[in-house]
Amino acid sequence: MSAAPSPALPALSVEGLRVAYGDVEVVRGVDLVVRPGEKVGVVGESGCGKSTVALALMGLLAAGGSVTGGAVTVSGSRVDYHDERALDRMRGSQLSLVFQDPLTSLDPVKSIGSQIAEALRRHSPRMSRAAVRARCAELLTAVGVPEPERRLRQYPHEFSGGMRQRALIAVAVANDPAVLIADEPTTALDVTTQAQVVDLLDSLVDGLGVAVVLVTHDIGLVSEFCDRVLVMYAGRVVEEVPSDVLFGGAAHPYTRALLESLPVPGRPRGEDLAWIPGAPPPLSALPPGCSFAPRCAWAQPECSVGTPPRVVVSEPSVAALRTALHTAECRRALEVPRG
Amino acid sequence: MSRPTSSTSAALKRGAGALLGVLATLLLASVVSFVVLRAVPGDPARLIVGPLATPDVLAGVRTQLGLDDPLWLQYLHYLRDFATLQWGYSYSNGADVTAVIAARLPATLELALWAFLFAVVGAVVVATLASYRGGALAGVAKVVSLVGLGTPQFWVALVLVLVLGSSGLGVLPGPSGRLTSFLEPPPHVTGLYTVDGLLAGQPIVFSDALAHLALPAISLALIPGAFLTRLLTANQADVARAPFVTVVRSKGVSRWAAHRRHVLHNALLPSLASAGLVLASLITGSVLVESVFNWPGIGQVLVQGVQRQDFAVVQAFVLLSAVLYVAANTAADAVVALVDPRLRVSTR
Amino acid sequence: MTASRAQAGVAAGLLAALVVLAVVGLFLQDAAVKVDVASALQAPGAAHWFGTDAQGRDVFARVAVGTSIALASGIATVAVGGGLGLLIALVCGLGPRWLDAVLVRLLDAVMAFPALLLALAVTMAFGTGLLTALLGVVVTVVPVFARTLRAEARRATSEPFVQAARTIGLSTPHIAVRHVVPYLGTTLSVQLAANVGNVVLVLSGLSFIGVGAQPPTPEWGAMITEGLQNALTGQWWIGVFPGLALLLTVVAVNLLADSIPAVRAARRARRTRRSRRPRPNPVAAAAVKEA
Repeated sequence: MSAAPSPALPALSVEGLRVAYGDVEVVRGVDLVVRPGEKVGVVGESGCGKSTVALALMGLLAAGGSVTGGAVTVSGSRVDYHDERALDRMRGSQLSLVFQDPLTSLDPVKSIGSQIAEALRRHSPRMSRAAVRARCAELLTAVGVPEPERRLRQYPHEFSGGMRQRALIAVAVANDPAVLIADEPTTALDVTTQAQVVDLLDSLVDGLGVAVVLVTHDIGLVSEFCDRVLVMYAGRVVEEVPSDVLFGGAAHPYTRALLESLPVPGRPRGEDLAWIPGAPPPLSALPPGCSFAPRCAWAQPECSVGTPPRVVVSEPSVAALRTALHTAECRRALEVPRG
Repeated sequence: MSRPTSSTSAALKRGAGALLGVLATLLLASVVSFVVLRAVPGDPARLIVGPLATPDVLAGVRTQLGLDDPLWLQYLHYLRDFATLQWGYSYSNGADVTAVIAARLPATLELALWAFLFAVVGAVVVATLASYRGGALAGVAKVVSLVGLGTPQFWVALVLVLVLGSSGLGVLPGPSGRLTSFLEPPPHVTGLYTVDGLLAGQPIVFSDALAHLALPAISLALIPGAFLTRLLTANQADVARAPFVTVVRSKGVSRWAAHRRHVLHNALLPSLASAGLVLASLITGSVLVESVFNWPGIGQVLVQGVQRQDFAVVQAFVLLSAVLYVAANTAADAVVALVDPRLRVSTR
Repeated sequence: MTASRAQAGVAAGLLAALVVLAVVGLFLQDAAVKVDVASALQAPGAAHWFGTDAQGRDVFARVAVGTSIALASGIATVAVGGGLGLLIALVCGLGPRWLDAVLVRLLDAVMAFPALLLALAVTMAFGTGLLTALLGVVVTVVPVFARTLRAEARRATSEPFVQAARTIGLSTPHIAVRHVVPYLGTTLSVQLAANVGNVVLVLSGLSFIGVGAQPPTPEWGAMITEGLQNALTGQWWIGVFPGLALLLTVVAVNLLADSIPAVRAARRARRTRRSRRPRPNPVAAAAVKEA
């Protein structure tokens, strides 16, 4: 078990992360700092690179993908993505992953118990059988699976989707990791189950003090669950915003467009939802300047020239220490009307 | 507890249905075999008595064989005789076919078992390495298995004898049966010389029997081995892409351990379904390979039966091979149902 | 994609070489059976590239003639067996369910026999020889085609395009020929190629045992049997060369069969990409016109 990180140290710190598949750079310099107990959301359309960030942090990119730049620090120690054995030691004990689709995330021919135990045994090889079993049951109880003793002997096909996701969360928190990366943990679940899983994650964070990175396309979910939101577009973080000012306070035109395309209950019928013209550019052929400029209603000729500057939208007030800096990567961030 | 009982009865029903299907297939196979037997243009009785026999003798044999009975009765007799292991008498020398096959069975069984062992071990090792390491190794494994699937086993046997056997490097004994002539076969327990040799504490007999086995068993193992290599490589490639493998890795399990524990395990299960095909390939192979090595098994009995136009031998052998094929498939299905948790009947 | 194209290229090259050999064989039919005891058992050399056999016949000529026999009989049996199998598959796929059930059971029963042994029994029943061996092999090929194509045909009948064809009242034979058969294309071509390999192997196996082509016909399997007798005394070339030709044929055909799905998929992708650019999508165009 890792020692509790000192509160001053961030649980996870990412600087200038770059990921490429072959010649195509899909993540182009991402910065991210998560303090213990903090919940940070990463949102964006599919293909914006958010899932790649999650896999890259774990060191589990699919074949052909590699981290080409940047520095990642977990609980104060630098991660070396070329040292597979060190990565194996880190995975599951300091950095854990909850994956997209609970239906395909469990080995169909191994019992639930053995799949949780695998995570425990890997990092505590001297744990006795009885201790492992007791801890597995304890974990299942903690994630809200009733009758843990019986459930541990069952196989994935005997579990519902929501129950499987709970079991996977149990796997992820088995070794009290410093950081939990949840990649679209609720997408494959039906709406009522989604809420239960989110509540479960929430209570675990409060109880264990684990830092959470929630990767999702569901901007509504992050605004409710997270302290801070990172909006990604074409492999870059275009806006970083405290979630309490997300609605009404978003500065980047892309974030605003995303928010406007959300269906709002109570909106008059017949009124069209807003939508973003065009599609995200292929990462192999990005437009010059701001990647969003071709689809942006606020774009000016100079937006297509040079990298857009990072603009500080508002400084955190002293009273709200947990509220981070609000920045946007847009030339006109302060001109876009908000509210 | 009502759920387990209902699922048990459902499984029983499913099992009974499968069994009925198997029986239907077997019955139809026996019809096919009977039709082919009756399609013989020549008169079987004439074949037995020879061209010089008098009509009286011919008629006597016809009655004896039941050839004057209506066809459906002949079929029923045929079925009864096959089921009660009375597979008739050789047209050429009058030997009891059942006894001949029974006497020769252990030799073929030993050969087939070793070939099976070679094929499975070889396929698991090559396929696992190919899908784990990927790259050039995977390409080589693919080419080797494609070539292996195309090899005429009897020709490979010939080449092996020429290269390694007595007429080549002389590393292994050539086509000279199961044991060197000055060695006594070990005391009969199982009929398999390698096993009996070990049981009797005769290491020389064991190693000599194994040396004699090596070349025929390799020739025999080639096609099923290549087939299993392709199947396992494809299965492992499919499983390795499954998200649960990433989840296993995210626990800190090394790539090799994840591959061994999860990918290989999941890839092996569906390959059980091809047990029948592997068995069929071993039976066919024994027919083609045994004569090259002068191996005294049932494959040679068949080849000799063919050369002597001995229909009784051929018919018994052919129907027996179909029965074994169906039995192997049924057994494999049963094993999968026991091993795969998704199909296993919940006993709790 | 490129790997499978390269594979298809290698297969095509091998097959082209074999076809050339087969054509050469057509002109060497006399040489292949000409007995010349004076020049018996000569090792491979300038006069006889593959050497001579125990009766002084030129092994190269015999292998070449054997190639034309193997290719012709392989293609013929697969064409006949595949055609019959396709017919049964269409009856199973589009016909009444009870007929499908009966036929499938029957096919399974036939497929329970190992191919070589079934072909052997049929060949023996109708009398030994190359022609009856071909008949025996056809019997084993039909159920293989019927069974694989039937599954595809059944799937086709649940596809919207077949149901749409039914709804507008097209006749069943018309649907079978115009809609289901094209749907079976990839599977059919893979099966055609793969089965040529199997058929050539089974045929040579039959001749090897002694029920197929009879000596002095220069069939590969029969030649290997003859070569076996000379192998122990050192004349390796009599049995090795025909087997090598057999191996190359089967491997070439298997390589081809293995590359067909990927190559066809790539070609289809290229075709749609090409057709998409100049021609506007008709449905979209209609929608635009209405709007």
